[in-house]
Amino acid sequence: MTVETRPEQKPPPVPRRAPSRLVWLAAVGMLLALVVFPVFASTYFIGAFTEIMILAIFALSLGFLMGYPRLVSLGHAAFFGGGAYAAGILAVRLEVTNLFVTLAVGLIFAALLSLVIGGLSLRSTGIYFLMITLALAQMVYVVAQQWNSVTGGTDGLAGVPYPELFGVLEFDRVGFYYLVLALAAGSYLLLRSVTRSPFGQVLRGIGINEQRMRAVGYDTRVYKLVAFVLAGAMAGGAGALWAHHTGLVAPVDVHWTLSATALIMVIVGGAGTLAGPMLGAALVWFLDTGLSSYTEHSTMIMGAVFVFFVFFARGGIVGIARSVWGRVHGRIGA
Amino acid sequence: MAVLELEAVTKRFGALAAIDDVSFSVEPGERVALIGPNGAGKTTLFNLISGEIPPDSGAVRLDGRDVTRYPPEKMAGAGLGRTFQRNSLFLESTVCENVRLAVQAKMSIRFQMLRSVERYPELLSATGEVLERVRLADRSRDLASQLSYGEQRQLELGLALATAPKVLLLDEPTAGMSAKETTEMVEMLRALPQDMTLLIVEHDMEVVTALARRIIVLNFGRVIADGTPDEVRRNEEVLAAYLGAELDEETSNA
Repeated sequence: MTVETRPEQKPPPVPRRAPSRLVWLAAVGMLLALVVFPVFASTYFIGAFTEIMILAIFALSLGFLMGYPRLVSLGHAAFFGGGAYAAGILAVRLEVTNLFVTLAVGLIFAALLSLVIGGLSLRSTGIYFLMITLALAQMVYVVAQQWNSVTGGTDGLAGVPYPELFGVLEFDRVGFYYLVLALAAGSYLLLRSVTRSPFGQVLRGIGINEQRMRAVGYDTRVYKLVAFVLAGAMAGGAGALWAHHTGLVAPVDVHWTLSATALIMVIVGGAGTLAGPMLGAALVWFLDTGLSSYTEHSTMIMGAVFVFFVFFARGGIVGIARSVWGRVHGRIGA
Repeated sequence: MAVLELEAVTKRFGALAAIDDVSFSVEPGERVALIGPNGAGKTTLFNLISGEIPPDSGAVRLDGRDVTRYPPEKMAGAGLGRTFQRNSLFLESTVCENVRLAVQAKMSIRFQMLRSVERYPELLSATGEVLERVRLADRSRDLASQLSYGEQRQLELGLALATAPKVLLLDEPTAGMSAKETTEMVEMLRALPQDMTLLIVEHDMEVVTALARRIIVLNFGRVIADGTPDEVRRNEEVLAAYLGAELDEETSNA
């Protein structure tokens, strides 16, 4: 038997990540900036940033699925829109505008919806999973569009007011901004601790090597379903906020193109991280909605940016930041 | 009572009977080698036992329990561990994280969602013990992808050991290893607790005799011999199978 000689030296180590203190500093700085922002900003921009932060929660929930158990769903808008409809119907048809109630109902409805859709789609993997989530989510879209008496059909539901809290607190534009900011930060912190927990480590293991996870004894389908429902519920919460913010719930909020937009936000921001999808949501919003008031070519620019990220920056915004950090410090490895 | 029992296990792929009416039983703490020419069905048999593929007929019992159609995760829960012929690791994770995931599989904390995984001392100490046993404690912070091939083989063993299996299936544990690495692996396997039952697929006869006192020979999916190394060596059907295989190889090379 011939023995291959293998070089003894270690393969090149991976680039060092930015120290967590610096990341914390950046996060706290950004949070502070967002806290003082309404003092200086126009009402238009306060509204725009509220919108971005709601989309950031939505993208975060999908990024969690794509980055940890690596489930690429093309039906995530069903949960966002489902939560939006649940809150909207409650507010418009039953005149319940208590934030606790609308938010909770949005979360729970989306959780139940994701339990059903996840239960059916997680029997498959890869591209089949993606197609089944797309198909089931489009069924939700059809229901939203056709069930006139409840959903308002193609017109949707108009006149969803800002929420209130037990008659004590009425949210206005600025108050609602702070509410969304707190919830976005809370969602991030929640998923951050989930990903570091034993459960989150299992999800990461499933994303890397599911076969081995099963061989050491994990019933991987159960873990994936729990993750799917968690992400679905969070998207539903974002949807409920969306209904209050825009005042209008329409079938486009459930349409698959919104799922695709969320997918782009995650990829552009950086899958496999939590901050990435949130930053991706902001960038995509600026390229899409933001630019559209200046040029009619915003969709084209957005497409070009997406192509750039897919071809040249697979790690997204966060990946770029990491490699810049690595280069600035010029030292690689421990 | 036998810890692992196979009864007339059969698996067909189309017209081919990959595993044909295989029966044997293994006592607790026994170390058994499974040998046979290439394509004899050794890995298929492992996949049938560990639940990766279901058998067409026959029964598998573990600790007296019928586990015939258990999926891999339930087999692992019932006390069966396995290593893969081609390493199946978490390459993007550190060595420590690899083992920790496997250790955690049997702990009640696996559904814990909020507390950091670093905050479970019992998890960390159990992980440390496994790392010591497979001699990777000094590499625990490196990525699995940074290990040498031999070290990855050790980690492969570590993942299986971390679940504290009653029965451990080892699929060619020394495949592709240098002589030095092979010696180390044999030492590690010999140092395993005496009550752990081992079933080993191996080609290297030196390794086989160093580890097992019983050899089961498989050819075309059937058991053609089952006994001590000496008995097997003198078995004419075994000689014919190996000689036949060699002759075939020579004619095909010519």
